[in-house]
Amino acid sequence: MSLAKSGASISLHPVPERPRFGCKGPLAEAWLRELALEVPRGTNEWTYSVDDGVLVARVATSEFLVEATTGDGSPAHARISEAERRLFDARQRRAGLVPVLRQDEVLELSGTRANDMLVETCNVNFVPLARAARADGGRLVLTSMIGVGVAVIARRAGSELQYTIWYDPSFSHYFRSTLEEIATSIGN
Amino acid sequence: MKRLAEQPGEWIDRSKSVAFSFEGRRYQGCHGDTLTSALMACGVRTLGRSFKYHRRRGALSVANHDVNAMVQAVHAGISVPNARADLLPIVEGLVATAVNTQGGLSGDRRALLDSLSAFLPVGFYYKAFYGKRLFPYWERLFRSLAGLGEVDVRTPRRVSAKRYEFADVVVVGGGPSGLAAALAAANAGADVALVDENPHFGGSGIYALGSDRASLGRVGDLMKSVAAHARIRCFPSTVAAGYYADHWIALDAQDCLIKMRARAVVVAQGAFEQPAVFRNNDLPGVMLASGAQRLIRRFAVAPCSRAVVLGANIHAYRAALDALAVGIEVPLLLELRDAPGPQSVALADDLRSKGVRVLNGTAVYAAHRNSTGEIDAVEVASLEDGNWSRAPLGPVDVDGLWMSVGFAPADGLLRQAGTAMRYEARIEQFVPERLPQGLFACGKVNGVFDFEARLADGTRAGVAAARHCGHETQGRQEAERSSTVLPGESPTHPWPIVPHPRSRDFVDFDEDLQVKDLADAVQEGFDSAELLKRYATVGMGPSQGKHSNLNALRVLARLRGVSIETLAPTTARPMFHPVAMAHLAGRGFTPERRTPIDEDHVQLGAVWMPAGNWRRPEYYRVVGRTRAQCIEAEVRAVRAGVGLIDVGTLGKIEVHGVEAGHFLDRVYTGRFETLKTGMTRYGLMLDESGVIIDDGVIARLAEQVFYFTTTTGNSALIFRELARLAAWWGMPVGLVNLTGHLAAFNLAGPRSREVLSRLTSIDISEAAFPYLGVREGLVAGVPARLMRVGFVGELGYEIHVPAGSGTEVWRAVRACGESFGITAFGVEAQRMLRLEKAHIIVGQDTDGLTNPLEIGAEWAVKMDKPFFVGQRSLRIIAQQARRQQLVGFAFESGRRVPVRECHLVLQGADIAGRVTSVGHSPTLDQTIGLALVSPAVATGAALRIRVDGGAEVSAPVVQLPFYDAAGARQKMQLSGAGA
Repeated sequence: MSLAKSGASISLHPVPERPRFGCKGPLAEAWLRELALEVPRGTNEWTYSVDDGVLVARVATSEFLVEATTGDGSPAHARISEAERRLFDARQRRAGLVPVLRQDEVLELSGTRANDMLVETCNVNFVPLARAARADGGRLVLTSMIGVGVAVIARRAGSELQYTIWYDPSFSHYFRSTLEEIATSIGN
Repeated sequence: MKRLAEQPGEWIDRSKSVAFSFEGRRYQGCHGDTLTSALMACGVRTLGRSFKYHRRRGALSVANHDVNAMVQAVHAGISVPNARADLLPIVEGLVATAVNTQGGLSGDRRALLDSLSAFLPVGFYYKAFYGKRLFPYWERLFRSLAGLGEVDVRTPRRVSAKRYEFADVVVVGGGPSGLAAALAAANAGADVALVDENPHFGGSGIYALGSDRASLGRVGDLMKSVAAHARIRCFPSTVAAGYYADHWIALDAQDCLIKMRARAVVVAQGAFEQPAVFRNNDLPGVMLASGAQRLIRRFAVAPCSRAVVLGANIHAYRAALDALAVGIEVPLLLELRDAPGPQSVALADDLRSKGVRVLNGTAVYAAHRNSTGEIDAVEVASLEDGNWSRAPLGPVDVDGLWMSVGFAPADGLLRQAGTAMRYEARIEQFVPERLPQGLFACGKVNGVFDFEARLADGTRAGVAAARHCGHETQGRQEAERSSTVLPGESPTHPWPIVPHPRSRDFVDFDEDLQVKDLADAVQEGFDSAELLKRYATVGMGPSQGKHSNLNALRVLARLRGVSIETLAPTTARPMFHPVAMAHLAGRGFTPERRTPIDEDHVQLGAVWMPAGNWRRPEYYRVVGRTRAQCIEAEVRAVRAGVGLIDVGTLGKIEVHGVEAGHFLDRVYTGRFETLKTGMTRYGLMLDESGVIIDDGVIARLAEQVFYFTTTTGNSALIFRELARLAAWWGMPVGLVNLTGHLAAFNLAGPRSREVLSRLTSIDISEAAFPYLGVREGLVAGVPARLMRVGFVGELGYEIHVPAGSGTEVWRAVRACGESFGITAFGVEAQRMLRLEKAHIIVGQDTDGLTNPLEIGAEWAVKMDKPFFVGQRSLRIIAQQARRQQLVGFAFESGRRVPVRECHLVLQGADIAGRVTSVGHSPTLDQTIGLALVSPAVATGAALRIRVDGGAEVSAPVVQLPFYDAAGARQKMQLSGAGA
């Protein structure tokens, strides 16, 4: 179900399934670097390599979320899929490197009234995040929206500001339908 | 019509006429009018009835606090009870009726209560309930009389959002000092939110002018600067209704509640003008001078044609001048003081020159009413031997009486924030003495009344607030250092009260409290502000004492013979202003989780039930079958063939690390460090008092990797608790919560192995994959974990796969099982299957006090371990007599007995326990159940259970489990099983 509305001041797009995995543990960062991935330095930060098409978020001191943002058949897609396969291969388990299955649902929120959606659904002030938004990295917010744990980043592509929201897939119906209802009430 | 010529800055749009009705009569107003202003423009002055005595009441403050003018407002099919007329904007087609009347506003039959007031003394309500015998009578009577508007349940549900907003500095109050504070803070670099309850800013700078028109222009300039400032966000029509910790302000906006978090707060809410107390001070036409000025300036309405002004400050003179300026005759100004103060002298002379008699040392003895119950004359009081008495002046014919005798600070937020207040005798007002960090006050609430001083005080507070947020601007320090400037004469009289021997001298208009009521309460011993409030209910009405607390405190002080500063005023709890219930309720978020198989369950006819925050199929509806028949058929299918249930709602957690086994040994009662890789074991989790909080199956996937399940409702809680324990104990384990990321099914029944074998290359033979084993491999081409479990008492496999592949695998299993008659089964069937095996459900067969010893789970508790959570408590419990015991009961075959969960088990006349699980077993054709009962009852032959309607049944106690005591079926030790 697409929540996007043509010409809307709030746009909600479910992101198609992408290769994605998480990893944690004392060796996680080193392992990601072995894969030649750009790893954010600080906790709750993310980096995105436009050339690689890979997003790496540090969601805790030593826990990471890695996602290919390009489509099927792209080098990033293949690269992250392969890394995921290796990470979860029981025969290649390594002490200090914990694979984390990430089956998250992902929504992209944009539009001139996106912040109106955020202030109705979350008690975090996203304005500073939006002001500092870049294309290649920034702060990651771990919080709760409408009662659901989420990870949120703000990205700026050209003049457009876009929020990417990861959340537990079991909340998918509730989360999407509720946000759509709010978007409608805000005035789409 | 009382509509005046256009006033500068008026709020109404004369080009837009609005038709509405009030009490069945049609009226016309202007867009921008409130119901009060529109009615008064039409000459209507009686707007409501009082709460207790049903006396006629009119406009008092016109400041959103007039709770005696409340209406039931109906518009566009929405009926809103208790809308305040001085706040309610008129809209085309609005139908308004006064609340709390019987027979309409003009003919309210309950007005009879006014003449019965002698029989309704203070505390009557409490005293009425002293005796048990008459309690029901009074209860019925009060219930029939109490209440204001009516909730119309046909009104469509209004969804009101809650918004989270943020600012460096929140300025509460958009009057002169608030505007100055907002500008100063914003100019210093702060992000400012300016909040005011009115639709337009300016406050008293717009309406309380007197002869000083210059302030109007100054305020207009400030408003323009504020509107144009990039760092100021304006929140008009928004009430700051409550202050909470860390500068969290509840803002009640027109259509929603805003949760505003600020780094600093400036309170510039001004002051509430206070009424004088005299006989009939509540008649329609008697109002606060500021209320009259609001009507004139904001709405271009003349509240009357001829008014007496009762005053004790400069504001009274300004009000009289404002009246004259719009053609209202003012024959008399009654100066409560011996003489006008130094600031008032010139204005008094001005008034005299305009023909107004200014009588020093006078007050109002009583107001008189005409045949319609509105004011028509004023009797003057003068002081004789220190007491007020009727002056020999004779009644003065008027249709209006304006009071300006003093102010009470609007300090609700300040007090809620913990501000220490002191009584400043020079201005007869409580002012802030010590403000909490980040909180600032300015303007009238700070004791500053003069216009220029208010602007300076606002600037000072704004700069200080910005500096608190880290904004430094050169040249601002001087403003910050400037001290507050008190007015040249006190704006407030210390005793604006003229008690009357025949009372009707109201102190509290919300609750119809007179001076004698307070005196009686004090005489009965309720002689502190807190006690007086609760006994007399002063200040407990909808306006929360905005117009009554100060006068009540004065009366109390005089009755006790102490000075007012020795009495602590009460602090109104948030919200201290009426807030719509819809705003408090908000949108109402109820997160619901669904498994990936949800849509397939719908196709199968699932009937849903909540389980924790998940929705799960209770059973699958089959046309032509009852609920019980559907469930029994599902049970039989599992026992005889193969069934499939979605158990994706179980908590699913991994623990990694060298110390993972040791960690689980400390968390669970069992032993897991010694668990072999590839095997699972039942786990019981206790809290530190030895009470069971969860259970599940723990699997060892590798030397340093464990995977376990928790109960459906507990996954988040258990994960958080484990994370806390790991951190607390300093154990380097990695915890991963996979609950929503994995789908899980239980394929159960004697033919389950045959079905599964077609979908996986894993060797699932009995020898290779025994009972309680765990394996990883592919199922239907998807990476999966398989666990041999026996919760339902049959050969069974839990299949755990990534959530994204859940539907694919579920469908593959169902397709493979089709030839075996595979049946989807729901939670109810699972409950019966496990009940037959007497497997407990934590939270159903246990309660918040149940320990493992009481449910016969000693086998799962390894007391010889060095430590586990709850072990110490359990050692102590083991030494004590049992409080309760879980027992099984079963009725004779074929008999269906109407016992339900939570039915009581009796011993004599006492409650000895309760039924925790019960149902009719299709396998055994018996009604079977579990009960938590006292040990004495547990050892008996039968339980006495009281069922619905009060009848009792006798349930024989039996050995557990009810079915397959040896566990042969789940271990596949039956000859021919699985064939």
